[in-house]
Amino acid sequence: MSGKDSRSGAAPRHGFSRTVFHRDAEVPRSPCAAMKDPRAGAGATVPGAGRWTDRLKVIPAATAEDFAACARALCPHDWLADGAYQAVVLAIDAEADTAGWLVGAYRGIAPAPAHRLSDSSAEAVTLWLSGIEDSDFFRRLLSRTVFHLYDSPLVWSGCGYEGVAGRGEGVQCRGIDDLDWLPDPQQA
Amino acid sequence: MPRFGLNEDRVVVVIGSGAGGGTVAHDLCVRGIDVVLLEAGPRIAPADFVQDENAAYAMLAWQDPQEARGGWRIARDLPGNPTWICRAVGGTTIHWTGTALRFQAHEFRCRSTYGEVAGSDLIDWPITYDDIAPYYDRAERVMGVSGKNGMPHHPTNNHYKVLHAGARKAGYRQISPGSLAINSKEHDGRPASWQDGFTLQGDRSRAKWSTAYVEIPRALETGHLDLRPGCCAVQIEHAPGGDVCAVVYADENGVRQRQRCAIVVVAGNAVQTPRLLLASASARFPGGLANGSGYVGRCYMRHTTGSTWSIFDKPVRMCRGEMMPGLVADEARHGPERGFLGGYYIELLSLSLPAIAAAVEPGWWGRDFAWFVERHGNMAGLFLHGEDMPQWQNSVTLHEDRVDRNDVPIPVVSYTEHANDLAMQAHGYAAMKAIHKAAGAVCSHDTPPWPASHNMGTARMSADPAQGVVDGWGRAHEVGNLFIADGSIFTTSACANPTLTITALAMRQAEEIVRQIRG
Repeated sequence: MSGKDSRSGAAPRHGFSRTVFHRDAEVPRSPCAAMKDPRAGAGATVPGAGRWTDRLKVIPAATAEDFAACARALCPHDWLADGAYQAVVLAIDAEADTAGWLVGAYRGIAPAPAHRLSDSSAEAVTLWLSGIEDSDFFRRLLSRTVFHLYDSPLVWSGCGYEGVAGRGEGVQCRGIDDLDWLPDPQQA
Repeated sequence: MPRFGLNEDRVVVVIGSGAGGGTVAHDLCVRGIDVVLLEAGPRIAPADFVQDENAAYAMLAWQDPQEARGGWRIARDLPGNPTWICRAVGGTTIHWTGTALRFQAHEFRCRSTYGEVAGSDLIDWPITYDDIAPYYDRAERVMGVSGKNGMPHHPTNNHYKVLHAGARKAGYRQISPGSLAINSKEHDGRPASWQDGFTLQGDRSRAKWSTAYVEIPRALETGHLDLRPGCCAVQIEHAPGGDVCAVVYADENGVRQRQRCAIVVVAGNAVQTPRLLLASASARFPGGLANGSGYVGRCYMRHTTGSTWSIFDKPVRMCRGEMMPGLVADEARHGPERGFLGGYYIELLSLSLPAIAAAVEPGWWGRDFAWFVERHGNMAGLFLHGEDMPQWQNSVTLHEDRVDRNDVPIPVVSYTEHANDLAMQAHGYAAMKAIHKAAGAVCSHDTPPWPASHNMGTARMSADPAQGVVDGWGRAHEVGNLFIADGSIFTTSACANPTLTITALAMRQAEEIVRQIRG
């Protein structure tokens, strides 16, 4: 049984997904206000005005565009603007050792210029990634993409994770008991 | 704070400041015994904890190199990262999520209860539930365990509603708001929990019990504790007769220091403790300090775990409230008619989006993955926590050639599940899915075990010195002034989370150490 919306499409299952569907249902996301503890820094930040590739220090611009296309194909949230994926690549760029390694590894496997990932469809990028799933390059790119994408309060907001929103020092978190579609437990 | 001289050979050196080491150090100090407490990590004030998954991990996690081998998925998915423990004053009590459960009586005598288990090196503990019961009582009071001794249960949160409704409908009856060493009301000078879901990152409120801000400051107040953060033990030395006499450590500048001592208590968690003993091999102890039996580093256990994350068609906001305020105990009994020996708890567990994205299924990507994680607001979680079988070949050993910054061989953690573990895990996954389905879940995902916060068995208690490393007090069979105070000494893992038992055993051990010192 498969659910609707962005689960349908050409992406293969990559072999090991262990999600079991109990029933067919439209399941909307539940976006919310989200905030990151300021002590943690801002997380991967969407670049402002100007060419985002101008901010790169390690990754060449064309490669970075390809990496951004990969990041979206790895974690395809249709409601997220390109800036969120560019932010991921900028965050990876700031990890100089990892960025340098990824650039070097990519040189050996990148598609021909006529089939540049950043000019290709989402399906084509996904297909290319499926072909290199067993590579160290893929594993490291996926790992850093997941780390940085889901470190961002902008992404949290769309995914329904609040971070420290609604919370404060010395006060009880807001709405801990506001779920109204199941009964209150009867205390024995 | 006193500074005992390196040649003060009357001190007790405690290595590691977590549930075991912190408790032993405190209990010795309050009885007037001088203790040098070596902790590899820094001292971090609760005001400096960060309520952010990735930042907290960078701050707290033990990230020194390790290697995972064996049949478990960790060896394939995260070969450099088999454990998730802390490197800081307070040890893993900084990040633990507070579940405080006692062993059941039969879990101290698994060999007698289960019989011989093919492929398992199963023995009974050399102590019984009755031996530890008074210390469970004391530990529960000290730690402020909810649902006991006047500490109320934690308030119902949205996530508990999902568990309770689903578990009732699925036929479970032993459902409770959990047993948490986290204040639900002010206690022992610490406030009630802010119910904000941030305890894994270090508890800024200090509502959760941790040696970092309970035992260690109290020990410092006695004037008998010399706390040395940033000091990593690299070798334990012994005198010609075999008794330990000094601990060599790398100090905060990386310089080797040598502290003489009368007694050593090792409490580095069950990977670093056997590693230190193995690295302290000598002519008299060629297989490692106190390792005449060969059991140092063997029978490594990590509990049978797994989790299930389910999506509902309405919001849950599982991260509001404490992380683990719910428990189903029906499956904790020994009921071999289910197809496996021993039992497991089903524990309510919430995780942040960064943690879910990284852990829900390592290597998962694409449309299915994105669909799943972007519904975090509608997600609920359950964690299965059961006994795993001790197996000789599951082990902590020294790497053949890789060494760390202190020139000590890095640990190799090898683990392959026993058939009993897999049967229990399959049963648990089915049970968790049934609970979520009964509560109305649209779909459920079974998540494989992540790096172990519970590490046990690698210097186990035994009655027969040929079958373990330490006696019923945690004293090494072969070295009369060497004690071990962490989960390494667990003979079997039981289905209870380990911290309450580590703490109770440490309280009991401290009394024995005092008797030994004072004659």
